Amino acid sequence: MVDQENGAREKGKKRTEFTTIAQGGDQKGLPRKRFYRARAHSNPLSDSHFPVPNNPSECDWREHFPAFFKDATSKAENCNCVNEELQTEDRSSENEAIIPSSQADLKVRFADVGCGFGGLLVKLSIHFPDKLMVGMELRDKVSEYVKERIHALRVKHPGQYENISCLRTNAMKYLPNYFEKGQLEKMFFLFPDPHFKEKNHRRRIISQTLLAEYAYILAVGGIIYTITDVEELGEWMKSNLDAHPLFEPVPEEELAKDPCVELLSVATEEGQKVARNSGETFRAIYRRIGSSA
Amino acid sequence: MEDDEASVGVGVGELMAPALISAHPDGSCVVVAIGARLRVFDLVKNQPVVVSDETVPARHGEAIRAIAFNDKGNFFSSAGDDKLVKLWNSESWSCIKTVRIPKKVTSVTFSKDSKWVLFADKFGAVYTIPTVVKEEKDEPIQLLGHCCSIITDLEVSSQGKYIVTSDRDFKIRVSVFPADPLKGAPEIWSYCLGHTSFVTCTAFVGPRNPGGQQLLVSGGGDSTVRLWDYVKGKMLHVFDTAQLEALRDEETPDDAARAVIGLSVSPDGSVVAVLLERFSGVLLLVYDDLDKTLKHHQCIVLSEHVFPTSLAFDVTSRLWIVAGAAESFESGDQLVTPEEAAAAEDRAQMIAKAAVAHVSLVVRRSPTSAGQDEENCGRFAAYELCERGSMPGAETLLSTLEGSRANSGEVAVAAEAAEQAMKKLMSKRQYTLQERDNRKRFRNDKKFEKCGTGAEEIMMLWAWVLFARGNISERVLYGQTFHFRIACCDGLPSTIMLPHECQPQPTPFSHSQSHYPPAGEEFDCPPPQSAFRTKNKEPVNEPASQRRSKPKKHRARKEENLSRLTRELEEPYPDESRVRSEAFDDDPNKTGPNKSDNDDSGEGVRTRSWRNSKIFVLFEAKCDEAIQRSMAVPRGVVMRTKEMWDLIARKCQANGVMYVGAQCQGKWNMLVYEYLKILDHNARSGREP
Repeated sequence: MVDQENGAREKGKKRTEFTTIAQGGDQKGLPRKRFYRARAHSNPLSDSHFPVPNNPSECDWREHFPAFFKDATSKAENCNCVNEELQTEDRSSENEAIIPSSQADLKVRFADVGCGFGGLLVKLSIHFPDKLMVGMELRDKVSEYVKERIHALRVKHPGQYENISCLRTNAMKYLPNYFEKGQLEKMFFLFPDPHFKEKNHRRRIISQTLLAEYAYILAVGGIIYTITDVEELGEWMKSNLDAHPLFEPVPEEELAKDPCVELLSVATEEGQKVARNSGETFRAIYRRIGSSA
Repeated sequence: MEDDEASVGVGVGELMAPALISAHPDGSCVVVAIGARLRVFDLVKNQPVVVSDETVPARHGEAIRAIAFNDKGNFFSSAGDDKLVKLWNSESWSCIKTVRIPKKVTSVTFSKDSKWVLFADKFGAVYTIPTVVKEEKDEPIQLLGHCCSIITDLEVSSQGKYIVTSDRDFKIRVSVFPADPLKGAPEIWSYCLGHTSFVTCTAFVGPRNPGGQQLLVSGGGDSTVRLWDYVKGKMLHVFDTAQLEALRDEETPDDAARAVIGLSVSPDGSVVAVLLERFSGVLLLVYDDLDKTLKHHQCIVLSEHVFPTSLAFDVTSRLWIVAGAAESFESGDQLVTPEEAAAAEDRAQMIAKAAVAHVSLVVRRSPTSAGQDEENCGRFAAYELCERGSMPGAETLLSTLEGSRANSGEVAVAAEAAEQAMKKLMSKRQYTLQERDNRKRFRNDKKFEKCGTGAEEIMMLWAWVLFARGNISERVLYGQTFHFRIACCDGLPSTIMLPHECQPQPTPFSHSQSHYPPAGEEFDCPPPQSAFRTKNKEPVNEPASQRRSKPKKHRARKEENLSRLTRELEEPYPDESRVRSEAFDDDPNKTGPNKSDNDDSGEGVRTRSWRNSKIFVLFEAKCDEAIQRSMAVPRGVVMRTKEMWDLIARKCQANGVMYVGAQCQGKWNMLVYEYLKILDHNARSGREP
């Protein structure tokens, strides 16, 4: 009985928390996942209705990484709005030590395709504070969650998490609309949908035709990280990467040094779930190489 | 008049395949593909060519969608909706190879060394087969793939180094032509991104000197022709045909952009001929090699009001234009036997044979008359429409390529339909947020409709629910004494005739419609009488169980459990009043009387259990609702699910069953589920329903 009451109180508390977050009252609290639950899948083959930039030059990264682009924005907007200016100034004074924004690389270098709830992005942000990275997620609610989460993290830890952002997009269709040739250094595919049926294999995120696109946006020497807990899919990804002439496997000794490799299995919700159940994971990590021709 | 003839002559269906035209690289012959047929005319001998095909299958079974010559002119390829790619020897005009592939083909071309035929399909894949004839059967080799998009055009660059593919998703992709096509073409060189709608066609412009680099032109659904440096993926110039004054004065709606549907470049690479949607003519642009731009050159209007569907320059800078279309049809997967397939092929061939086209020729203006236009056209030669009488081959050519009864009206109608079909296929539909929302909300309703909420089905469903719950015996069910009747054809309120033994005595079910408040109004009904309620419950249960001829053991146990369960459930719930008050929020006056009224009986309004009597009421309310909806509400006007169930709940409440909409809905879904489960079980165990 007491437990129940406590539970009810807890619930009420959570709800009020949520409403305050939703209303923008208490920005410090992280968004709660349960208010952003969505269907497990979204059809990647259907026509998209969200706006997609026509080409990479139309892509506006300033709103995604305001701290990095603050020079550009302040010049462009010419200090029209006093409040906004104050805010950016505040933040910039705090950030000065951490991000030397004038020298920073202003191109997105890492992409987490199908970022889900953004576990990997948040972890990577600490490891690579000077690289811009973006998560891509097709389910709108989930991408909303990640955006909220990043926003909350930025407010909570000023100066940190300024280099991560999330896009709602269909990575199977629109990667070249966001990234130029050879722009990316790392691409992550963590626990993608397995799509067991043979009919649905073309929905798998790793396939010969899509690897051609990944090879196009990855710089030579860039690395593609894949991991799954489904053996069948693991073999599929490995065989596809093996078959593609523009990728070669990264040797084990290099993997041991790479901080990203460790994160693959522990950073995401899905990975933690597998670890809890002491399940097996299958990873395939390949490097983009130049064409022999 | 013209429309009438068209409907008799050629069918104008949803699926129209446009007529295509292609000219031999050395100008010796012209090919028109319409429907499933090729019409070939030899310009040297001035006679039609009979094509011979001894491969299997020996002819196209559906519309041809793509044709191409190779650069040398010794091969020709045709492919289309029948998923066949045919390779022809263009000297003897015999088919040397037929390959079946899994999807419909949209575009076909040859590699520059003529060793490979490349073709693109509707699922975004590009395949290739060698042109060499071998003993073993050819398996198409996949070169590359666009992710789930229709490839609209496929070209190989003049040096043979790149494959250019354009698709419905606004993209043009430039892939490196592989050294060994057997291993695919995995390297993407660049993307040309800039079109704001589907891309329909691509071509190369600029002088074709060996060291030089040609440029790419592309046309799309956004009515622009764009010029690209395709190696760098850089857009150099945009020519918007919507800005042209010459096209504006025609009576067309201003808002609709005319899609570019065809491009052809003259052999010297300087003139780009452009076909536009709903434009009875051809637009000539010139490519300026110095400042890398496209400029308007000429606008040639055809002699008759037909919309061209395809065009091709030949080696002497003559521009061949064809207008027309043939009906295509989905034979699909229904063709099981070879006879059926043959019949479908026959039909396709017949349609193609009857189909008519309109062929025109645009030639360079002769030097004698060119003088006066010198100023207008600058250093580029002017073009003019060739008179039908003075075309090479004259009458024989026209009758071969155009079909027997050429009639411009028919052609115009067919060609327009083809344009529309193309546009419908290519353009992405825009839905408003509201429509999206609605779709999400009603998606599940449709599922229920599929499993049947029509009146008949509801009847049967109810019979089965009763049976499953042990309220009527098998004997009754199988003896066909059990029947429900419903008077719904004349729009009267429905009446359910229950089987005799199930008929509750003071029945709430034979009431008239007047009990029901009209939708949306405040509901106003006498508070339920508890005496009446307790009474009507018993007759449903008791007679049925008594009459059961041979109650099976487990059935009896189930019955017992059920009654125990109902007894338990009848205990008033502590939080029930909260639910009630929520349900009656809009009508606080009602709550008071109800409460006081039912103090004695307790369970009258407050019960949570679904007794059979209550299910009856719910069931009937739902029936009424379904019938009313099917008759009164015009199609397309949809009520929100919640509203519907609230309405049903009100009907139930009017009959003394106090539930809110959500509860009714939940129960209903459970019933449907139960019913389907029984059906499933019966299907497996082989018992007749």
